[in-house]
Amino acid sequence: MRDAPPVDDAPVQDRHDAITRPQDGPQRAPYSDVPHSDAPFSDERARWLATHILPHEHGLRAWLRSKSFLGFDADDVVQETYAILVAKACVAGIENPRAYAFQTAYSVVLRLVRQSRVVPIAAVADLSTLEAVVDAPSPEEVTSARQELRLIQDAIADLPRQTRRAFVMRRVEGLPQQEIARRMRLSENTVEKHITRGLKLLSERFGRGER
Amino acid sequence: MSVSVRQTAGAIDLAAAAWVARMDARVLTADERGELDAWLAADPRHLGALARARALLLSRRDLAPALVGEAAVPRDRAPLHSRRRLLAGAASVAGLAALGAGIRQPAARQTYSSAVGEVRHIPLDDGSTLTLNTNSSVTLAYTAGRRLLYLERGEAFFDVAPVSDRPFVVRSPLAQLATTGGACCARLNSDGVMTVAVLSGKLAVEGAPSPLAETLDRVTGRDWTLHLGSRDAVLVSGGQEVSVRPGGAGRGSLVSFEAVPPGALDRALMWREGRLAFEGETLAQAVAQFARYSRRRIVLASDRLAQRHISGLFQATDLDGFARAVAVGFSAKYREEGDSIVLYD
Repeated sequence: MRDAPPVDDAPVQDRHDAITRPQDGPQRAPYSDVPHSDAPFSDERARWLATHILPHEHGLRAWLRSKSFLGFDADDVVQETYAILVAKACVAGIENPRAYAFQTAYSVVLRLVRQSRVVPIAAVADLSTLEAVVDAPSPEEVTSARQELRLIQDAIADLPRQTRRAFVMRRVEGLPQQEIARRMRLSENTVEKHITRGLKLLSERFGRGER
Repeated sequence: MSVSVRQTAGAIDLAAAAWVARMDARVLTADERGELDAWLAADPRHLGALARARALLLSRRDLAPALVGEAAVPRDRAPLHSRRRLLAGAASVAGLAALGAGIRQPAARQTYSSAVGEVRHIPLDDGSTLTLNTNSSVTLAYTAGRRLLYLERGEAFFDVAPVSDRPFVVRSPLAQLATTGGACCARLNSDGVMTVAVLSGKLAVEGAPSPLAETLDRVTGRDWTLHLGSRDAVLVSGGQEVSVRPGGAGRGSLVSFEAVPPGALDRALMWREGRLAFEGETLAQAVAQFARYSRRRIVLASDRLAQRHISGLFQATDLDGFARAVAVGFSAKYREEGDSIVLYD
């Protein structure tokens, strides 16, 4: 498995090292190549994130919330996790995206914890149990990953009427924004605003588990 | 993480949504592209929010083929091994022994000891419970009129069944404790100071008389009995802690109240579950605590480490786990040297 550190009987110390090694979670200037790399903006990568990471975001957030006594903001960690995942040059070798996402989030948390002035060691001791969480998604978690995709549909259904119309045409029917503007008799600028609003509301609903 | 000077995740999400909607509408102008690059460079979270918003906007049609393969096969969850020791069984056996000894021979002495790293729960025949911490020893000498115990070594927790006419008395070389019911913990520290914490009920603590007085008592055959109303006794209530120190030449022990921060007593008593709880102690202090529970030792090879403050809950006997956590938390390293675990920078 290339995507997750070994969970065999290798010394635990090594495991932690492995997690923070640059190739696993690019900690050293992870974003330096961003403006020059098209990977973050490719449809390919967006599809990979939507398919392999979004469905596990709920579980990831739940795990992060259970560690919130560490003092970090789960939203921050999720955003940074996406940043690292999208900035990776290649994701083809990641066999277990869920585990990889958790490991990446773990590396972010670890860095935030180390940066904070008081280090709550309990939390770190707690973090070291991450491997168990990562390695074996429970049946419930797999179920919730499927439900999560439905949560997105539900969140869309709850959008304000005009916003929902524009958003559904774009996201569900796959129409370009110009075409949506034509059908809704709105300016392209207004459609863009509806898409922005829809995305923002979806981000909130989906991420923070509201509703 | 100072949230105040950082943009909130919600604000970032909004900006990301606007960028994604625009990129979805048309190709960005060169100016916009420069603006986007600047925004992305300003905070690593920006790129993540942007990527996430893009993924959220992808149409179902785009995703349909991939979703088929998404149905992951659930694997059996690896059993999480509980490290909790099977104390209950051992305790009940010890309890039966205590019961047998107690009922038939009320005045007989019975000594209970624990090994290093061991915690023993011992139910007593009056309904009280005795819990021995690591490397401790208590002798029971119950009589019809008094439940007398001697704390000889280490630390013990006494959960005292209320019997109003049969006081529960704990004796140590430094002090006598007496109560008719409640819960308290007494510890003989290696520095010669005794610490007594009361969880519930009232406990009368009387410093031992001076060595001379004690000798006289012994010579005259008088038992050193505690008088609950004695002006030498200090009445300690639930949530309070006292220290008893040797009083020096010719003098009795000195009893003094200690400041108890909220939650400190509960933390201190985590040892009953085989755990050590820290809340801002220095690493040096924590390591000293661990030393009570193991023949092995943790050695701090750097002053920087020794002065760091830690908080957390640990298995008292799991030195490796503690060393690992310290290593991870403080970016330190550790190695084993014989019976020691050396933590170093």
